[in-house]
Amino acid sequence: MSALLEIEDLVVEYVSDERAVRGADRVSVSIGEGEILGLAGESGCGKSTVANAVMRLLKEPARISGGAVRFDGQDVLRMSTERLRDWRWRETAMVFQSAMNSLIPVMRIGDQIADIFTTHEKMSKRAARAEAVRLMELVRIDPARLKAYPHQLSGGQRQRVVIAMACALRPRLLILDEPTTALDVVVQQEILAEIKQLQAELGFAVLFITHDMSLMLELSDRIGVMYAGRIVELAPAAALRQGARHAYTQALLGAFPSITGPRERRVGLAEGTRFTDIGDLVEVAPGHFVAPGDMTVRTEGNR
Amino acid sequence: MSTQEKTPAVRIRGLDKTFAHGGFRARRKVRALNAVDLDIGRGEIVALVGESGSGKSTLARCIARLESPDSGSMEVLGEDVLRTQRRRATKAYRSDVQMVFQDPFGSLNPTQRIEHVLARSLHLHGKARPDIRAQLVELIESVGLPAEVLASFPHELSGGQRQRIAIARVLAVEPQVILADEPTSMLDVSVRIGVLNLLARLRDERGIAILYVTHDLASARYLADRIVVMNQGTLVEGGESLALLDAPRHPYTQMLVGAVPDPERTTPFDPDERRRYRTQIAAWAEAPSERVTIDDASGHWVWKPKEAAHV
Repeated sequence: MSALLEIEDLVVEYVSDERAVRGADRVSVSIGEGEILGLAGESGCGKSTVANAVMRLLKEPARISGGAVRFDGQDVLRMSTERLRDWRWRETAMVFQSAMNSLIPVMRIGDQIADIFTTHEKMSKRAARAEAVRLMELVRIDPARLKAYPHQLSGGQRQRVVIAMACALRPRLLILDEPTTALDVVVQQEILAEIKQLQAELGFAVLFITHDMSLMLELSDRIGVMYAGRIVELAPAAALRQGARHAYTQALLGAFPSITGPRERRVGLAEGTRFTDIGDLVEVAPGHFVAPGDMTVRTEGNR
Repeated sequence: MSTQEKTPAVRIRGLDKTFAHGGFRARRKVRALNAVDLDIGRGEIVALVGESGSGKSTLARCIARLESPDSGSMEVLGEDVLRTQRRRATKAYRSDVQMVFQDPFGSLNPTQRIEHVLARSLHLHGKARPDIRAQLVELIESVGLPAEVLASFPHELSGGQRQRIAIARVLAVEPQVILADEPTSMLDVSVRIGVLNLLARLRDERGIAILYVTHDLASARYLADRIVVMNQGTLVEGGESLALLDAPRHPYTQMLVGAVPDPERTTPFDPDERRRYRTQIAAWAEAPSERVTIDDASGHWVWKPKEAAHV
């Protein structure tokens, strides 16, 4: 089976006068047609950097200094500006962190959705409005709300609208960067269920980025865990649930108390823990990859 | 002393708070707190859980005296504070009751070294000892950070370290009550548990009473001795953490528990069931209700409609 998205040895550097910091460091991962791949890790680990590199959205001082990104065999990093404009949204769409604040506050929801169809599909206004109604129904919001301005919707509704807009042109890949972080658990669950349902109906693949391991385990088929720009473990969700091999993955999983079972003391990652010399992924079980490396705990000094 | 030990650290009865919002002509009132009764024992951690907008932060801010309730009574460490400190809290109150906020990035002055931040709290509240350097080292070590951190500026520290500094600053004034409003929600996951463990240690070693405000039920279950659940300004259920979450009786608590991400869950999310919950929660909120004890041993109670024969 060929992959829909292939990321190979991707290196992204943040360059300043004095030095270059690797935001993503030799990252290799692929996503199959209709697969949900999760990228987990903490702030600064490079998960959003990878997503932005795939979308070619990185801006100075970030630059892609190595590797390849292929979408259905095409080299994304070499696409012309025109091809890129067409590819984004139509074939790959992205929902950003706190995307619910990305709606234009002075424009009605309906006009913002219709814009996608008039701009990308050259539809008439009337046809675009009909499509907007269909999209609202898809995410179960009353189409009457198309007349509303963003501030008249709740945070959860705004997030639904943004997700619906991302799905508008039926992309084959949807990138979701922390799509529910700013939302309550109750709304979060509703939105994730909606994403799952949309995925079942429309069949797109998902690159799902979050720091919340319990969400990730619930939604993803496969999970990659990132640390300091590198993927330290890559495995099917079920395999991680049963037994994560890398100490960092274990710490991430251990950091979440459970809502059931005995109440026992948990420890996260000790302050000052560092993983260094992270090697390339090695297959330790079928489909389960772990990167070798060293772990140190610095007890003195903090900088 | 013996009577002091028996009284809870915080004892709230019938607390009401209404906010008015909207335009000049179409002014609407929102009941943020509705006849709230709550005790927090000395050396006890009580988690206050609910969705955003449920009123949980308002309750914490009322206890911190950052908001004034409309009516009700509030005894803190045995003193009826709404009566004796009517207009504003005394300095002594501010040292007894301290608040830890959600954002460890915004709560520290970026231009001051950590030692200055902490020393200032000690001086302001008259807690500084002649050997202040040793006192600062003790303080920083009590929150699990090395003494070197004292010379740092806030931007040189991680979020988890900064939240520990915020807690150290709170400890500097030797409080008896700490109000922690979502103290870990902005922290990276691997250090969150460390901050929770630190709060548990403060309870165990210093007998500090803690109100832990959160929407994260799993962390509430992990940390708190008791949980109280708030929906639209009303406390709807309470009891010992495990007893409450293992068998929630109020539809609102049941919905919250069902929404916690759980990889072990086998049944998929059902939007119809969610709608049924919402309908039932609304019906319960409308009906004249009473507080019913479910189980004496665990102190489990629920606020439920009087007519309902079964929960």
